[in-house]
Amino acid sequence: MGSIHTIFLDPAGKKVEAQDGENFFFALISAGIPIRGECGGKGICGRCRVRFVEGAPPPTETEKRLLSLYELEAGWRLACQHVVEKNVSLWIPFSGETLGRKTAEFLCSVPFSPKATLVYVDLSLQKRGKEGSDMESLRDVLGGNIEVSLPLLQELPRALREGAGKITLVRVGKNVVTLRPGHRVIPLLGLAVDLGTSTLAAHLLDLRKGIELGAKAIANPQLPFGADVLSRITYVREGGEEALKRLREAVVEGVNRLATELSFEAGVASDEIIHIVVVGNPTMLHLFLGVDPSSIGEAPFVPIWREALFLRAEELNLKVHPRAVVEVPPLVSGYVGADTVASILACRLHEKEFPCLLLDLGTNGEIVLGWKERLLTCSAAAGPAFEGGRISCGMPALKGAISHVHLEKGSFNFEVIGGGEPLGICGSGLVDLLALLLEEGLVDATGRFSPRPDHALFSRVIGHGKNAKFLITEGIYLTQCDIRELQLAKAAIRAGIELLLDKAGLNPQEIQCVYLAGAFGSQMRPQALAKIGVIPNELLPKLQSVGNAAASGAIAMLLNQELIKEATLVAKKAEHVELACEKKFVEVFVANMKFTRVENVAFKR
Amino acid sequence: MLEELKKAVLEGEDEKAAELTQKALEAGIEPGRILNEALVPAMEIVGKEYEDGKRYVPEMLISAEAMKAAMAVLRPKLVESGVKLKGKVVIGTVEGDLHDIGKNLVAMMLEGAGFEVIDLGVEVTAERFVQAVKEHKPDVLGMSALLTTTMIHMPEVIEALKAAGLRERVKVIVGGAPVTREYAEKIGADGYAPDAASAVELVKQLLGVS
Repeated sequence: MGSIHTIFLDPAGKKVEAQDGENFFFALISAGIPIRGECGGKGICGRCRVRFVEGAPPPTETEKRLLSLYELEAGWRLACQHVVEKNVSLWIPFSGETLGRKTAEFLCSVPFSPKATLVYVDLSLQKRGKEGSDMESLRDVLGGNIEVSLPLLQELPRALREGAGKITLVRVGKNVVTLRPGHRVIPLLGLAVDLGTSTLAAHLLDLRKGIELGAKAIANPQLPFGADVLSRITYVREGGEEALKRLREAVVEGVNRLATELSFEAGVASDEIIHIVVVGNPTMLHLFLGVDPSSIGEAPFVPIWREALFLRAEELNLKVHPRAVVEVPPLVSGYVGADTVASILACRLHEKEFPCLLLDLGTNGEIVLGWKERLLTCSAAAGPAFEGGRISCGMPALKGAISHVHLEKGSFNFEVIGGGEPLGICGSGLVDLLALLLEEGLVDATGRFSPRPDHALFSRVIGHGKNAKFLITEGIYLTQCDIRELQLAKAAIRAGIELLLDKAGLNPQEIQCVYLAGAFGSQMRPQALAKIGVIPNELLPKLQSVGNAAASGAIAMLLNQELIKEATLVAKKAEHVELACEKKFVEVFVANMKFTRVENVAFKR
Repeated sequence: MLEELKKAVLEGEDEKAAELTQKALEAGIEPGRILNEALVPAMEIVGKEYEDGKRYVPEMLISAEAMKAAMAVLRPKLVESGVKLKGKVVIGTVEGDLHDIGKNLVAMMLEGAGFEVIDLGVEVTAERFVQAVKEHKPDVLGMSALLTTTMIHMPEVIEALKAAGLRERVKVIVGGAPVTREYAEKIGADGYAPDAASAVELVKQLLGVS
């Protein structure tokens, strides 16, 4: 029997044991590591890329064919091509955590037709002078589909001379980002960016192969300037130009950090990024572009622009190729942004035969009710409770947060993210706990702690009236006021859902599917969400978690140029419902603060 | 009958509350007594139960709705009978703010405590607040904002009152989710209340009534 070796996995920080002589691909698969491989380890698809941190084995012929010289030099290999002979450290770019399973499935279904392409041109075959200029010859060869720019004119003579008429163009749509003499393979990298109020996420893509090289999320560096979009708008209003500049620099720096780190980890250069799609909520997009978002801050909540934007990286101070094309998909309204449009695209809501709901439960919960006929959108001011904000022991879903609670055979248990000592409780834990307390009758339908001396958990309820609280574990509790905050949050979301259904004249029974987007959504236990009344009970079996759908939509737009055009159609089709202006809103909102089954208040009158 | 009316308000039965008020009037009970012996005590209990955490916004609103129904019947008679109310309050949400649940609660609690309330509604500009102070000569002006972005209109209203020479004639109180006591002091308001029940106490205290 052969000896056992250990494979250390970065950045996951995991260890996998493998038999001496075992194939890397199968060793990783059997250890449950999410590694791509469409061909099943046959050396055909070139997707099972791993990077040897040091001491990469000599490349095989297959690898020389499927990987670029640059990648080979950086230590990239295909897992299926090598066997384990010693302890090694591998860098594996994919992680199942960043892309939800459903989302990954969806992305595989996007036809690969990126806007960014390499174009090989041979002008030596053209009769020089016939067209009157080289630029005209180029346009002739490319079928007219090219825009003239100063850098193109400046780079063209040398490239033509050095390549003896042969040149390679890096093109994003009609724009030539850069060009090189001769015919060669130039890396084409794309970056999909989602600017969230609390988190910035980016995905690095190889647009030649149509694969993801890595994904990363960081806390939004604007957080010190305010936790929600309104406080950031206030910051700009009070601080003027200087404040706007500071917020812009903070988010641009965050995006640059993501681009740099992702490139470094994937063993590529960040200036090879030539196409970027940026989605985000309207306020974040305003701040990213240095546009004063004040008008979004008060009624009638109007953004400065809504159409799709086509910009250059250098205008935005992005540390990628200076002439990289930066596209921002269109917005729907002041609170429904390019992120929602991207999510609609990712879920294909606009093509559904029957009505479906899309929920993104952030601080501003976006709700879309859509199918091929209509797209109704609204934003529900849920407040930060579902993200652990304004909750006495609340915290974001980070290491140390209680993410789930259960009652099993009379014993109360909880799960902590990353194991270890609990530091606080995050949104999914709060929803779980509240559902449990309602289920056990320790909290009544009005949201009050109710005296149940007969109940085993009653000893955990400390204090009375306004000061009552439920002890989760030492130093961590849920107070009466926390329950009130959660009631406000859930009532806002539920009221949004009911008003959209009302506008469309639909019953919940007519909804075919409910897509739950966002990091928060994937953590939630659907039963708990239904129990506290965020969603109507009859929709429970139709709930589907789709991960960060906004980022998936942005990735899809990089992979397929038609989708960017589609985004504009989606935004045009979307009807915005301003909840605050709806007559029924207050009634529906207030009725939904309770936990009794008040089904469809909006339909009652 | 007054005890029954009080109970109807507490339980949020709006139709019954209106009906009982009508019956009480027909039975010859003075409008002032109906107000002070049924509605005011009912709303006092609502306020107290909120303080104790027994009631929350929905349970407060149902009682407020019942009180509103009773007041709709009672108000004309109160005016006719010339009952002296405790004071006059003009109230509204500031410019750019459409959120009025909190403001409505405060208005109803004040009315239930025996004050005359003139509700200017939502998105009230500084100009309209000044106009209303000129026209109604209230004792108190109440402003509400639910957004940090609209809260900034509060000092504008106070400045406009000063410019019109009306600041000394009216007490200004502020409230709403993002508003704090410190903010109220900073902008030179006369008072701040964190919720509807304490707003009633605040107005009483500012006007020296009980």
